[in-house]
Amino acid sequence: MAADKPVAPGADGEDDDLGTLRRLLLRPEQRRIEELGERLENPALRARDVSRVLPEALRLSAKDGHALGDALTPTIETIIHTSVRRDSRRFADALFPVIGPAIRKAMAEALRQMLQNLSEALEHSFSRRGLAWRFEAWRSGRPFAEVVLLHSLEFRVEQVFLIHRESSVLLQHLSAGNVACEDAGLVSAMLTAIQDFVRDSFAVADGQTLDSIQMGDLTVWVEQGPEAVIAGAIRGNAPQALRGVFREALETLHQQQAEALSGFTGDPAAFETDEVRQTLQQCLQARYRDPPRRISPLLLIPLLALLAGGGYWAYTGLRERQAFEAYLQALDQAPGIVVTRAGAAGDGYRVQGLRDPLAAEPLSLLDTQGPLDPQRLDLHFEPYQALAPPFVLSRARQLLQPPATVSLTLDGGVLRLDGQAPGHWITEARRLALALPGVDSVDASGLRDPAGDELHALQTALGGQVILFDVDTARGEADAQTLQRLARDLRRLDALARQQGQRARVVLVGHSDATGSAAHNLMLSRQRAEWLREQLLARGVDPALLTLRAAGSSEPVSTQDTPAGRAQNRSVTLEIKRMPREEAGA
Amino acid sequence: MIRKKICMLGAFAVGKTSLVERFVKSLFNARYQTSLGVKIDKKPLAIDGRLLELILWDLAGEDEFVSLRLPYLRGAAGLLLVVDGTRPETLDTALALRDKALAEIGEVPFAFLINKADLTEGWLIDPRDIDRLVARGWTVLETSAKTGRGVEEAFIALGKEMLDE
Repeated sequence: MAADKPVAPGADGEDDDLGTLRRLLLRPEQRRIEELGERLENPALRARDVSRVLPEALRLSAKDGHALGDALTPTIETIIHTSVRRDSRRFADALFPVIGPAIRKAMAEALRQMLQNLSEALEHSFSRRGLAWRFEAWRSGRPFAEVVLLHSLEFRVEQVFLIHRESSVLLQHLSAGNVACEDAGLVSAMLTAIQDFVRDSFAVADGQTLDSIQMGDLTVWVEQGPEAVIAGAIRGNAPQALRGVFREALETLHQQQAEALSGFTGDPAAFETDEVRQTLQQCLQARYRDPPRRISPLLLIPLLALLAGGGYWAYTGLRERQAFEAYLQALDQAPGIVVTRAGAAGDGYRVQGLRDPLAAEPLSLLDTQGPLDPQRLDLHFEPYQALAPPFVLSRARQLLQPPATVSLTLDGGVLRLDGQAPGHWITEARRLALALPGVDSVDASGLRDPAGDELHALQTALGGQVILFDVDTARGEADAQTLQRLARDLRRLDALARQQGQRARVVLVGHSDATGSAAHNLMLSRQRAEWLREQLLARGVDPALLTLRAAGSSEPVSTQDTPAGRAQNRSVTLEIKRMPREEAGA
Repeated sequence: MIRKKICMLGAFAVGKTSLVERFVKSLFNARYQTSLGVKIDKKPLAIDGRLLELILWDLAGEDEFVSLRLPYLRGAAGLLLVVDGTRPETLDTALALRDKALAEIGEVPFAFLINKADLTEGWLIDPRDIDRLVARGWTVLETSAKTGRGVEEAFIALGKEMLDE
């Protein structure tokens, strides 16, 4: 390069001097420019430069938008296309670990739905077996459908081999509990040999493998992965679902042990881990084959006791609830009781509502021999007046206190009173009944008052009685029989008046005829009245009943002009008065 | 412990099976070889304090009727090529099998076993042919099915080579 050539100083004069100076001054920059040119022109160097900035450039571009993605898409599509065409197996191997789970997830959802339907169908079949399975599902916490599946199939995975596909070397081997195992290493090689033999002997299409070997009730299932193979020896009828378990385990192992598998050189130690064993353990599916674990009898005793206790508790609870419901119904049907709220509260039951004081006592409606303890009832009733006819009638009876001879009926809002009753009661009843809620009017036309009638008749009869006396005597002409009858009538009057809540007063009015002096006549008339009183008192008439008045000749009973009339005026007449009891007492 | 698959190849009736039978752990009946074309045995070895378990695929001998089943070779980490010392043509077969096998599975260690079933029989193979193999850097061992001479050594030699790989 020119810059590197030695320069002879002073050979070309001034130009040379300038050139030398320039070279001396600009030499580093010149070198740098040449280096840059080299980097731009040399493809290898440029590629290296670009490779340094490419990741960052891609990152930035991706951040800015979709332009890069859009630009790369056709290229990447072409690459994938070419790759698949060239070696589809390689692509399939790469997809293997992810394609299974994706498909399975979709399938699982569909299957779950189907099993759910199955479960529902079985739910209604209450066969003894169905119930036993349901109990087992409950006990084991497994879905019912799974328990059904378990019982429908009888098999056991006895051994599982994890085999390196390429070398057929055994990587891991598990066997179920008490299964006798031949040398697993040799068995796994032999399994591979058999596979190879079949493939080689029967023109099997490329990529196809021997999935299953069957002898009697023993089946060997072989699940092929790109790097490893899982083979399971199954006794009994293996369900197709188990395939999925194998496949899943195989995929898990391919994911977990990707490096160990691809870099395998014969050392199985990498697969002697709990992780691998646990994954393979899933294939053993001891749970499928496990006979239903029986509960030990010792455990059964407390379980039964618990069940019995629980059952009794539930039973008594149920009976109590039923009794409460029945009680509520009885309350509801009882007239004058309205239940507004009822339910379990705390340790017992609470009932709230309205109750007419005339209604039945709420507790009396409870069957005391029943399962519901009255102590557990909390009853709250607010008083109210029911307007149902029986209550209106009851309340009317309470208020009116009718005599036994009176009957009460309610027709619409009309209270009908029928029968016999004292007049004063009738008056009172007419007045009071209108105050009763539920009574609009009172019909008392059916009521009779015979005592009142008799009293009235007696009063009239007695009012007309005239006890006659001879001229100028104070001794009556009346015979003992007449006096006796009069006394009896007065006693009756007294009694009847009392019955009617009244007091009777009988005034014995003495009279004289007009002959003789007025003073004499007044005295005579008094003596006559006194005589009659004596006679009546002697015949049992209450003295309080009788009062006297001397009228002399001033209140003649008849005419003074004829002898017959004058005879009538020599007499004692009776004035009957009735007054309310209080007035009479006062 | 390391597990390796090795294949034992040879012409028909070179005495492969009887050569190794007392050195290996057998599980499967020899009849398998005639049906499946392979018999599988196990040969545990201890080499330099390391445990090596050889899974020996004893492939049916090749002749004009039976041809080598190539799939059986897959994944083999070593080859034992058995030659009948009294039948020179079996050396050719062994060489052909070697080429065929290595073409199938790639370069793996191998050892030639020149077997003599009976002491009374003389060697018929030209020693120069054997020298030629040795000259190529190949492992060649003389074995005796009768005494078992050389068999264990053959396994160890091949095992060592595989472990060194």
